[in-house]
Amino acid sequence: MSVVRVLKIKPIISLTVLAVGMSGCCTTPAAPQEVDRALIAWLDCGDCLDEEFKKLTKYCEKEVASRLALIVAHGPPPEVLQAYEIELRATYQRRKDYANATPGADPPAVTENEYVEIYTNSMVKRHKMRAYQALAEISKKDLIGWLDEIPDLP
Amino acid sequence: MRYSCQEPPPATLKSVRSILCAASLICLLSGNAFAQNPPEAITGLEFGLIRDICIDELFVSADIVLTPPKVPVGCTLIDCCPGCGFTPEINVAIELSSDLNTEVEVKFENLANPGLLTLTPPGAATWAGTTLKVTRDVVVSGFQRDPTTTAVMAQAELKFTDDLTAGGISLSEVTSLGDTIAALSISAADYPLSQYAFKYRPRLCAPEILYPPPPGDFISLLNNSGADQSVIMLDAQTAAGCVDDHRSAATTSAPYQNFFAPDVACRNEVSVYSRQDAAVLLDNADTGVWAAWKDTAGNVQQVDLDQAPWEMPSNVWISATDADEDAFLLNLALAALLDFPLIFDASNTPAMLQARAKLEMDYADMLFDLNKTGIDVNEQAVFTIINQLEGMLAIYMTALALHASGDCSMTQILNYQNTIVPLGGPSIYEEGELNIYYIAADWITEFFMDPITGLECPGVVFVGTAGNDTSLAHELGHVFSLGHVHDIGDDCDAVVGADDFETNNIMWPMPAGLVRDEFTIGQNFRMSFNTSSGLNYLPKTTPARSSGPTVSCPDDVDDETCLCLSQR
Repeated sequence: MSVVRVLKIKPIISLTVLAVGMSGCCTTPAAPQEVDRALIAWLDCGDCLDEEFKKLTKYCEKEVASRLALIVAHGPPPEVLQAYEIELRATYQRRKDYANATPGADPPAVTENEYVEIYTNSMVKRHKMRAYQALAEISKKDLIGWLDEIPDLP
Repeated sequence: MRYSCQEPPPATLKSVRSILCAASLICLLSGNAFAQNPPEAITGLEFGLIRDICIDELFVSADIVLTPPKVPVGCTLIDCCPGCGFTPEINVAIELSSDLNTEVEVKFENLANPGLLTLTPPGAATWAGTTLKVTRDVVVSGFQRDPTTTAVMAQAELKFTDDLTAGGISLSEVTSLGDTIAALSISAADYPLSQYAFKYRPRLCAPEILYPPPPGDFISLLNNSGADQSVIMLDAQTAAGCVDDHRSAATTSAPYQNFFAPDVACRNEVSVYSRQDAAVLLDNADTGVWAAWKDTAGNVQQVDLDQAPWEMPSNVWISATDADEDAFLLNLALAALLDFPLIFDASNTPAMLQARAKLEMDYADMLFDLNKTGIDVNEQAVFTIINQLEGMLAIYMTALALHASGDCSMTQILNYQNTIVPLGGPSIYEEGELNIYYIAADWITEFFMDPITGLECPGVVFVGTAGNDTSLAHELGHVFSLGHVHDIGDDCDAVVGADDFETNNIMWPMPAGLVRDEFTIGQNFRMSFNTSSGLNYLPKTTPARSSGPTVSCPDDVDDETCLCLSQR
């Protein structure tokens, strides 16, 4: 929530602001896993605090910017989406089973594929937006510059 | 950590760096040169699940089967794949370490042909269909990484097979047992991708003085509507001393050692958690209840579960419009009124948003039932579409105030109620009930986008469309007094930290695994009985909560009154 407050204090004029970027202190992680944890915590947090945002954006541009740009451009990698889809389908089945076994409980009012689509779309949107937020905070060049460097995935 | 202070690079250097960066990215994703010089460390996730094994259970059952979450055989994190994009084969190393007799079965989903995989050393495991029965450490190699097909998922089921029902192990031996660790290490050639370590700590979950349980007293459960294994938490006094927070489970009757008649030496208390019944707390102050306990054996304490789950009247306000003109006006008004605009996403029609709200409300209700919370969040839910401009504006501005600064004053919504509703506008708020707002705005400014997942104030929840299917259940947990489980120092077992919670706990602020579907008994206790729970401060809970014991138990308090939060 207060992430927004943090962002609000920055003058928002245009994307060129991002090109100017920020200078100052940044952190090099002791292990790559630190960045992974910070990244996934920020992309998937439900009730986000300043903490999740700061833990990611404290890292130096070279550690995270290209990864964030990849997510902005392409969303989560296929494996992440596939794993999520498997869990969503399992949840959908559990919900159907529960409704069958529990008087008064309603089965999902959408098809299994619709269920998967609703929540994978939410994940993609969330990851892309959050990656964009973090990239804007960290990057020293404009987003278009980053996106130009991202090749299409196979 | 190493810290450095960087100046913005000069323009020329920046250009050179851009070219180098682009080139390196292309190399990264195309392969060969990078493959010949692999980096020292490739990103991956060290995933640790630490869980207690209640070794006591081996005294009454010959085995315990534990099923940790499924893990993908491949990349598990964003962009962990610079090393595997050009290396199609993935290996899974399975390691097991235990002082107990254990068996591991790794179940692979979406695996077409296990016969094509190689086991090293041969004979360390055997296939039964797509399940690998592991007898000692083994590496399974030859998984094909193909992003165009469904990922293979692995689940390492661990079975403890020591039969202690005949007393084959002493209590002192139990307390000296080391951890059992099952680890899955996933790699592509020389590139570690991810590691999952599932650690189980053997411990006595109940006081030693209760084992083995001789004939003694009983707790009898009446009117168990769900006919489920209800969880009974008990404080009492035995010949050996006070029993604190003893856990047992029963459908109708639970046997115990002989309890003494109540006196001041020990606390007497029982709480019961059951599906389709409200939770029951007979606390220490309820002295009349405890007349059942005599110093002699054979007494029966009855606990009546006749109360149906507490119902929380809920109003689900669907704030969306499918009229482009209204959406435009809403955006225009928000942009004019606020420092920065909250952009309304007109792709979420009222019908779509209502369908989503119903899905998530039903799911929350299912999770609250299956976890024996004794709370029904859905029974009295009323869904209302708010597509009128003034009402939507009030809702979105209130959400923004909360989102941006934690402002729970509900100013805009209450102003609307006081000024517009008397003039004939539709109501958007019900005093004394739970108000849930589904909103279709996902970002805050045109440059700094911030997707809204869920927000909570006392008695009020906002849910956006960037969350998942458990976002509402999570926010309702907050309404019922629970905090996040990542930032508390829980001390059920004197080990402080988030490891006390399973990865699927609903109150993780983010999915620690992919699924959130558990409330602990310690959380159930707080949701039903905390004075700070919406059940107790919202006056329209039915039946009225004017009587019955309540507690004031913050998440991080574990004492004679407050159950440990992570108590299962």
